[in-house]
Amino acid sequence: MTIVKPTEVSSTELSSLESIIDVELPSGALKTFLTNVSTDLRRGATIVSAADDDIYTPSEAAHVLGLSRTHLYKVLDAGALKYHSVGSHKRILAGDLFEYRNRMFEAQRQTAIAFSGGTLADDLAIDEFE
Amino acid sequence: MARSRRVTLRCLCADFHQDWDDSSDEVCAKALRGIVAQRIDEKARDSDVASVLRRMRPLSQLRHPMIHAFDTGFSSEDDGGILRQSIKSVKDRQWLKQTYSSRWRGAAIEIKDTAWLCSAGYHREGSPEDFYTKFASECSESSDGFLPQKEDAELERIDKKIADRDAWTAQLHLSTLVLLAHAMDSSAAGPLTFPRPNHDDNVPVSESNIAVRLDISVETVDVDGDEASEIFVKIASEDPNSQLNQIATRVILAAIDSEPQAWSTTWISAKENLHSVILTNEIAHRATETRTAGAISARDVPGAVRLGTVAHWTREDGLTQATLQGDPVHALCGHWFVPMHDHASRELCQECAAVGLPDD
Repeated sequence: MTIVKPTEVSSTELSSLESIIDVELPSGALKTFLTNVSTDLRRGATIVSAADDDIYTPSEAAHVLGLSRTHLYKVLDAGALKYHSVGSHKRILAGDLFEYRNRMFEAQRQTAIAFSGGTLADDLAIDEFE
Repeated sequence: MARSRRVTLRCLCADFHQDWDDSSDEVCAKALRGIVAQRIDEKARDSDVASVLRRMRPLSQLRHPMIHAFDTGFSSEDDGGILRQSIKSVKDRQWLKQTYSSRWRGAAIEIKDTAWLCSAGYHREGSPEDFYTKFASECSESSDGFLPQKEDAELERIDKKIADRDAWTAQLHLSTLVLLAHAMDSSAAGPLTFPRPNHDDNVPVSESNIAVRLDISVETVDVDGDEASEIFVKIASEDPNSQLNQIATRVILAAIDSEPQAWSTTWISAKENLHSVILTNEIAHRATETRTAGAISARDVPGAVRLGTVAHWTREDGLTQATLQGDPVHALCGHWFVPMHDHASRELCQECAAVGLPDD
């Protein structure tokens, strides 16, 4: 896993990168990816990139997902997020973590819809039972 | 318990030409009759009738003085000590006289545990237009036409479903707080299972008729070096995509903390999510108070959510479309929300502000 903070990248470097992207890279996934990297750095975001076989500890995974460690351990114990054991320690592959994050986002979207449903959901619910 | 009081739709829409205290009630009554007719013809759903009912008062509390007189006149459990006069000119069944001032007269009937106001009109002494004279004439062969009709039965059926749903949400809210109080004492409580709103209490709850399963635990966690207690709420649903599941999720979580941003939600399986929130003194107090009382506090409204408390920034394109369609968007701070309110009047989310805006 690589972390690049915006403070570690000069404006000159970013301009060089953007020039290479524009001039030398054909359209495709790589061009899109690097364009996003430079856009994010320009707006002051830190870049975190991982190969899908990079390894996260439960603490790191909890941080990525925005959860307490306890909550993350419950997710692991329920088998919802894959992990492997190194001795007594749990380790999570980046590919599995980010795939799980998409499922988590979907659950969060559904919960947001539930919170906002209000009286419309209340009325529609009576169509669901006799 | 007070007797149920109802007014037939025919009486409501055809007999009360004048003297409404609020004419919008008359408009609502006619709209209601129309949508019930469409429901009978299967051109509308029960929910369409429910949404019209939501915008009006119960029928027996619509603002007409004659309806009010009927509602209060039959509000006791039974007629002990009350002398009611029958309409003697109608022989095929017992119709009871209902009056309001010198002007209004009506005919009511008791069927099982419900008093119905079925007809009303002006009192005109000595005139063929007098209500009782006209009523007797129209009932000369039979008074069946004034009884509650199919449209009234249909409305009663839908009213009962609404009452079942409201009782179900109240039960969810109460049970959630009681279960939380137990979890605070012994770290974990549950599962509690809830059948669907129309569940027959004589039928045992089993795997085949569970709508929602609820588990709650409370654990000590580390939050930035400080200890705190975190509440974990696992909700499993027979049909995660149903409106009932959405309501259950909203009612259960809002019972504990009605601020959506306070919650962390994770996927456990296709039918289960795990939600967590920090246990505050306010939540702890409300849970123990509710368990002690064995009833929902008058301050609590099952399912009430505090939406739109802050304005968020999102990088999402199509924010207008999301607002129109009720789709959630992802805020810079990580919170998922359905955009709906005027953001300009809200304070900006501090975490979104810290993430910052893109350079133009």
